Parts: sequence; C-alpha cells; structure tokens
Amino acid sequence: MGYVIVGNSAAAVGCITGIRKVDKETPITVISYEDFCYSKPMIGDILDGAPREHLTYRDKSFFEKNRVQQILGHRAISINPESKVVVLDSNEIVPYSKLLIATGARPFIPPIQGVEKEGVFTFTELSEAERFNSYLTEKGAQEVVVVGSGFIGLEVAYFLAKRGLKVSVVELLERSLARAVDERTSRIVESLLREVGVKFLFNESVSEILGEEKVSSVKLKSGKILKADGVVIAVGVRPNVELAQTAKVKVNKGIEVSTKMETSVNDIYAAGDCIECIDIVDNTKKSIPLFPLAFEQGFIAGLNMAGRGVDYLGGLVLNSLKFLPVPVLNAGLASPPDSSYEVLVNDKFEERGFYRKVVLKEGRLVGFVAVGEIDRVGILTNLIRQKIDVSSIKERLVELDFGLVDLPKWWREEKLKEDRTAYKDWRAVK
Amino acid sequence: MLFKKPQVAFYPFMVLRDDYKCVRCKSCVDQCSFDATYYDEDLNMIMNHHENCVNCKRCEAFCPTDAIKVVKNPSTFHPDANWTPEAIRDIHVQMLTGAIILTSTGNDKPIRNYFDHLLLDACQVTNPPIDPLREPMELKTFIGRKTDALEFDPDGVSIKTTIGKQLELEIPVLFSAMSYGSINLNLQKAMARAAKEFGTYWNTGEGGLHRDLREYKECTIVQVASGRFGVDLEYLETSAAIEIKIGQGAKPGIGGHLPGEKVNEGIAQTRMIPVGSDAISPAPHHDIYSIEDLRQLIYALKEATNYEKPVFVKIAAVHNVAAIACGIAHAGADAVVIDGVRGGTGATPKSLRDHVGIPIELAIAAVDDRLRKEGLRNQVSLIAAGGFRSAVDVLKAVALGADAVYIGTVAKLAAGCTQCQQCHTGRCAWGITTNDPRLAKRLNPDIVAENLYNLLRAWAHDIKELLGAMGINAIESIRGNRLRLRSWGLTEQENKILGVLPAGM
Amino acid sequence: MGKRKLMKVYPIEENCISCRYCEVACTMVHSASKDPVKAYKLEGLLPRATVEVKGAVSLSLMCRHCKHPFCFDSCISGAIQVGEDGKVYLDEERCVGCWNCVLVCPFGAAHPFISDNEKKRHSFKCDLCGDRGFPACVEACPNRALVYDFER
Repeated sequence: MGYVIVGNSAAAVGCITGIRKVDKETPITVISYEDFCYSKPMIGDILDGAPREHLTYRDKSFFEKNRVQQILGHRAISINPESKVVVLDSNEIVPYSKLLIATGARPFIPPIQGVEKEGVFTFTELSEAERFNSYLTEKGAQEVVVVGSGFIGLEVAYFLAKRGLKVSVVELLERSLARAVDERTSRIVESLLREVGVKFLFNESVSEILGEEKVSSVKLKSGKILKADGVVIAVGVRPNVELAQTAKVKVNKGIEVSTKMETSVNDIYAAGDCIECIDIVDNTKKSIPLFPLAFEQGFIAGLNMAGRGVDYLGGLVLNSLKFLPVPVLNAGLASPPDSSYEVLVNDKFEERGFYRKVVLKEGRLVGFVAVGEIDRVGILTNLIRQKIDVSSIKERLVELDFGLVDLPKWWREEKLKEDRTAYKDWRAVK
Repeated sequence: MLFKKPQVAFYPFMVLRDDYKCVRCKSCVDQCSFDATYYDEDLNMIMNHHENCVNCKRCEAFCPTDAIKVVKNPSTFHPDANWTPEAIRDIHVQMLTGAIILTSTGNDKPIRNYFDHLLLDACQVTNPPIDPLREPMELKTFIGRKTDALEFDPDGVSIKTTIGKQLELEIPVLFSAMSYGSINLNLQKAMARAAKEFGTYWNTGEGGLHRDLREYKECTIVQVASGRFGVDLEYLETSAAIEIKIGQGAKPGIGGHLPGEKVNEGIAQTRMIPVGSDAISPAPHHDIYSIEDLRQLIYALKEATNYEKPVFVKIAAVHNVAAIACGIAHAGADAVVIDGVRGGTGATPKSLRDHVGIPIELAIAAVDDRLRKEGLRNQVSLIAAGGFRSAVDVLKAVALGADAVYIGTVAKLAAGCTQCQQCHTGRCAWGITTNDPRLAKRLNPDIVAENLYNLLRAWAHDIKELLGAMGINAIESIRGNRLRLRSWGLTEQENKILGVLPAGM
Repeated sequence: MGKRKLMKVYPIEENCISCRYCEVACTMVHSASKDPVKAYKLEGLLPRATVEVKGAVSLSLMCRHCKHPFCFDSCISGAIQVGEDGKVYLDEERCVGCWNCVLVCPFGAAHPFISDNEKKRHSFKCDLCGDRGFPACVEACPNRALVYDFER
C-alpha cells in the first residue's frame, strides 16, 4: 500500500514533491498512459523542431530519488473506493492508501461535420502533436487552418507560420485570446502574428471539414472555403473526469475538492486541470487549467495526503504567451466585466514597446496585463493573491519601476526582514 | 528659453562623461543632489546640467565604471589678476539676487598657513630619540583649571591641593562644535562613538543634544550659544563640560540662521523650537556686554551644574584676541577656545568667511604669551580650532602653546566630504550637512565612527613618532615649548609674534 | 520545517543609498569578461539585483530563495529546482523562457532575458554568486546596506 497518483504531469510532480516534504518512506506509484514525464505547455516546441527529450519535465532520476514507481503506457480505467484499488487497462490492480487523481483535461471538440477526418488534430498531448507534425511533413502540407485563437491555437499558428506554412486562424469571436486578455493586447498579439504571416478570420466558424478521407479544405459559416492540408482544433479543454466518476466522486465543472484537495470520496484527492477550483478574483468555482495552479494544487494535495493539514485557498488565472518575441503576461482579470472596476493603463507600445494595464476593484488589484516589459510583474500577481489595499499607490502599479518600495514599510519588513517566504506567507488569502 | 542668465551661462565646473564606459546604471543620476545629472529616456543617455554642478564629485566617486570626471570648466573669463572668475561670478550673482553671497566650510583664500612655515626639531647624538614602539609614550591631556602651586601634606608625599574637574583626553584632539541641523544626527553619532571609543570628546554645537545621543554623556561637550537652543538643566547635566560660544572663526561677529525649512521634527525637538520655524542665533548674547556679564553666565552654568562641569568659552580669533582671552580667564572659564580664520561653518556670508579674523597659529602664540605674562596660564586651558589638517598641525599648535585642538573639517572629510562648499544649501550629496532623509542615510554612522577612530589612532601614532624623534615621551613636555620649533620664510615680526627662531638659529 | 540553515542576502533599507553598486557588481561577476563595461555592452547582461527607489527610501532586492518558491511551482521546463541546501537554482540552459517565474515571483526577483537576436531567451536570478563563495553585491555595497547571513 502507498500513495498512488494517476497522471504524470504538473499536479503529479507537485504531489510527489509535497508528499516527500513530509513522508520520505511510503512508496508512491504513478500511473500514466503516456510514456514519460514531459512538460505539456512545451509541446508547441515540437513544431519548432525541438527533440522529444527537450520536453522532459522530470527525468528518471527525479523518480528514483523520490522512490516513485512509474507505471507507464497503461491507462487507469476505474477506481474502487471500497477496496481502495485502481484498475488499469491491463487488468492490473493497484491498491492505494491515498489516491490522487491528476488526469488533467482533454481538448474540447466541437460537433463539426467531418471532424473525424484524417488530418484533423488537437494539440494538448505530445503524441498527438508528434503525429500532427509528422503528418504535415509527410504530406508536405502548405496550408493549415487553426480553429480557435486561444493560447494553444495561436502558438501552433505562430510556429507553423514561422516554418513558412500558410496559416489561417478561425475564431468565433471578434478577436483573439478574447477570454484571456483585453482588446488592446489581442490586437498587439494579432499584429505580431500577422508579421509572420498568420491570417485571422474573426466572427467566423468552421461549419464543415471537407475532403475524402483526409482533410482538404474547410467550409466556413460565411460560406467561404479555405484550403487546408491540416486542421488543428484548439477551442479549449474540459476537465477529464471520467476516471473520477467511476469512483462516484462528485463532479461539477470539474472534480469538486475541499481546501485540502480531497474529493467527496475519502482518501481520494484531485488536483490539476481536472478539478474545479476557486478563482480568488471573483470567488467562483471554475476550471482553471493552468500549469502553475496544477503544480500548487498537487503540492498541497501531497502535503495533505501525507498528513500535514494545509489549505489551498484558490488560484487565479496566470497566462504567459511564451512563444512570441514580445512577452505577454497576464494574471487575474484582464478586462473589467462591469463598471464597478477601475482600470489604469500605461500604453507606450508604439513608442517604447510596452503596454501595462491594471484592473482594480474596491482598492484591490484583481488583474493586470503586461506586454513588452514584463520584468517584476510577479509583484503585481502577488498583490492580487494577497488582496492588499493598493488604492493609495494605484497610479504606480502601471509604472515599469513599480516595486516593493511602493508598498507599506511594515509589509516589506515582514516579508524581507522576517524572511516570510513559505507557502502560507504567499498563497492566496480569503 | 535659449537665453541664459550669466551665472548659468558661465559655469565653473563640467561633468565629463565617457559615454562608451557608461553602462546606464543611473547611479550618478540618483547620487547627484544638485540636479546636475539626468537620464534622457529618448536618447538613452545620461546628460548634465553643468551649471548646477558644484564639483562635489559624488557622481565621480560612485560611477562603477569610472566614466565620469568632474573638471573645471576650461572656458573661463579673460585672465586678469584682479578680476578673477570668482570676482566676476560674485558680481553676476549679486546683481541678480541683491543678496549676500552665502557659502560654507572654511576660508579658501591663500592666507598664509604658518604651520607650513614651522619646522619641528629632532634629536641627534647628544640626547637620543625615543622609539615609540618600544617605550611608553604619553599623549594624555587634561583640560581644565590647574593650580599655580602644589601644597603638600606634612608627610611631604600626599598632595593637599585639589583642582577642579578635568577632561581627560587620550590625544590632544577633540571633535569641534557642529550642530544638529547644520550636520545630521548620523555624523554626530559617529563622532560621539569615536570619541567614546578613543577617549576624547565631541561637541554638540549650538543645536542641542538629541535624545539618542544622551548615552554619550561622558564624552559630550554641550554648547550654550546666543540662541540658547536646546538648553535646559538636563542638557547641561548630560555632559562632560559646557562650552559658551561667543564667536566662530568662519563668521566672527555675526550670528547664525538655520532656515525654517530645515527645521524638521527631530531638529525642532532637540532645539526646543516649533517645527519649521527659523532658528536664529543672534550676533551677541543679549545678556553679555562685558567680561563681568560673561562671568555671570559662566558662574550661572557652574552653579546650575553644581560646579561639576568645566566651562569653556569659545571666541573667534580676532585682532585683540589675546586681551579677550585674558578677560575670559579672569571671568572664570576653565578653558578658552580660539577659532582661527580658517575655521569652518555650515553657512556664512562669503565676505566674512574670507576676510574677518586672524590665523589660528598667530592667535595661539599671542594668547599663550599673554596668559603667561598675566600669570593666568595655569588657570585656563587653551584649545585651538580652525583648519587643522594633520597630526603635525596639532603638534605644532601644542608646541606653540595650545593644550588641545578641535577638529571639525577633518571629521567631515572622514565622512566623505569633498569640500565643495555647499553645506549651506542643505543638499550635501555626501549626506553630511543635510537632514534630507534621502541624503542623510548616505552617512552610515557605523562606518564613519570606524573611520574617525582610525583617524585618531593614526594621528596618535604620528604624534608619538614625532615626539619620539624629538626625544620627548610625553605631550606635556612639548606644550608651549617653542624652542623645538623653527620657522622658515617668515619675517622677523612674524617670528616675534610666533615666538620662534628662524631655521638656522 | 523549522528554520533553514541558509545564508542569503538581506537588504537593509535604512542604509541603502541607491548607488547601484550591487547591480553593477552582480552584472560584472556574472559576465564572461568580468569587466563591467563589456558585461553590459558586449554581453548584454543585466543585473540580478534590483535597486528600488522611492523618495528617501531605497533598497536592493534579489531572489529570496523562498522556502516555497512559486517560481519552482510554475516552471514548465524543470529549469528551476530547490537544492538540498535550500537554495533555489535556475538552470539558464534548460530554461525555455516561458516567463512563468517572472509572472509569479512575489519579489520580482526572476527577470526575463531576451538577447538582441532573440537567439537566447531565459530567465535569470540571483544565484548567491554560486562558486564565487560570497555574493558580489554584498562585497560591493559601500554603505553596509546588504548583509549575507542566516538571518537579518
């Protein structure tokens, strides 16, 4: 008996790290149908010519050092919470004392006619990404249609365009990254992508994917037909809760967990993209499928599984458009949903190549966007987390030289002098 | 505006910048407190307003890549021995301001420095020199009223005579009066610590004693000046000695003025005046118009402190300094302090700084002579002040007749001062003569206390070495011993006043 | 967990005079040339310590080597690791420049680096001067505004 983790990405590694902070002995087993522990956010690099090993997130030595047994290439198909076992597709039965479900999310595939055709791919898993990449190469693909302009869609579009392919991005809304960032940022991002040749079709959607067996073109809602040697569907992900449901774990927008990361079923914990978590910005429960959150949740789950009671009080949206030459970061809310919010902007993108915007509500920072100059924006992120009243310094928040010196002295002294650098000092507050 | 006023157009200093070496760290921009340096975002270059540069060299010192040199502006006026650039610039300033030109530090005019014309003796063959590293060497100095004769007990061994309280100095050097306000608390702290550590004294100046410095009571001389700032019984008692300030070498005959904008909370509390009010020291003490009045104040202070504190009287070295010093001795002072024409200050009219008073060397000689002649020398100690630069100056002053020496400028230099003469602006970039918190923290009292201690230690070594060479093992044996001095390049009259023989005689 | 036995650099803002010696010293010792001018101008390096100034208050800030580093949580490449010694290590070779650490560091101590030709992009931060043994910023500080100790 021991700890069992289903999944082998950020939440899983976070969980291992958390468990081993407390419990150095009890064995840990990791179950994953994938073949190694790689970094999901980095799979776009495959299109940029990166070798597979480049994506390694934790190599063998990590698992050896932490005495983790990996069961790779096998899918966990069900959980029996009564007998406390996980059943694999190989019929192997793995017993657990504490279980972490870190099954992540799976891409959402809209009901488009012809979506099952060869040449239509999603882009959230390394194996699929690799298949997509070799498909393009083998076919000598010239033109690709990307459906959706979220982070994944844009990354795929950017790398392919840089390779010289003709890329069209079809977006249902009137701008890219519409759910993540504000309009100004969208426009900046779009202009950067256009520079490498990406075409955008807004207020558009794919009504049908055409071609015999393989995709040859897509038909848009407007009736327009785009030639396509390959199609990437990137319209978002949904929590992968199938396994959890076999254990009758309560699922809402994702797996429901307590602040200890425990599900409705005893000794089953969940973390990562498969759960619903509290967004500290608006205090609602939602799925926030982001790497840093997954790790943190996994870590807290690990601590709790090993017996140290630590609360996870929620997360917030943390985005980084990592593939662009101009960095784009945002945290929390990028655009205010109503007029009760206050917005401050420092837009010098044309003159000096940076744009910074903060969103405040009732004197507290609830979100920001930083484009171009991103150094030290982490301070802002943590102001969101800590919910500090910043009304007296709000003008400074959008300045490039904003720093701890702008914050109250007592606060600075507490964090620096008293060396408050543990989790409890920085996690989100209620 | 392209038109520039003359004092802007003709500036004395320039900041030369090696742009290749400049890494845009912007240290200089932050360090400059005179708005002479700024960063131009569009050009991504550091630029200068040369007309604001005061040659304090802060930027030069703090440039990590040695990219900056502050130099004299090579463009100057037509060479003229009378109409020097300084003379012309002063006219330009006064024609615009209609005001007195204020300046600070000490006299910068080439008034003869007699110390540089005095040479010390050394022993050869007949009376051997002493090696100070092998033999004990005594620099201990006592300041205070001594006695003319000793009375012994009938046993012939014990001394019957008692003398008043003495200050005990491990080196005949004290830190001179620099008030809180003119300098900041950090330098006072540093001086107090160094004095305590080494075994000498520091002087509060006329600005009162800050609470934080009360712990240094045993090595503190508190000053009572015409403004009576911060004077109360507790102040007088928190001291080793009390000094009545009548005058100052850098501005004899005038008072002082600390502008209200510099009077922050700490200064206000210490001076016992409202925040933001001008701190004006009148030119005279309004209760002193005669030696008799002075005597009253001296005894009032002694009475108030139970005769436990020696009382000093400080005057500027003026023409008839000897007579005044004798009056002070008669009035009952335990020490007379004379501040010479090169004495420094935090603010003074330039005309007074440069043209009023006499050199301290002549004053020491004249006062010592006169006190001896009047039979008063044992009644008072003589402390000299004003422009002492080195241990050698100290030793020469002692040989001329001083008991000890006050150093002020030296203490500032040990804190980083570059003598840019901007103390009166309150913008000292080295954080010495400013109470602007941004600037004042540039002076770390821990570091400067160590520097000052080192300096005293070095000077003590120097003096011991010189004494050893003269075959003397106690500073007491050189005091007023002008036979061990010779002069060079002086007139007969000057030699007479100094009481020294010319070299070769 | 208890107190860690980790020496790191603590700023003392009462003494900081915003001279930026810490910044330049940092850049210099992390350069190949060990020359401040070349470090900035030829190697395009930037300091790992940041001097913050606001009126009379200033302080130098660098990586706090947190007990629970958010940068470590958010690092997608595995370039950031916490050593057994408690130090937080950032492997610049392994870093892919996703800027997550920049986004989450509460002290703004992880900085982005993109070389002029965009060939190199990675984060960088204080490494406590690694093999050098003693942090250069502390050595360079002229006013004792930085201390290298187990605690402040």
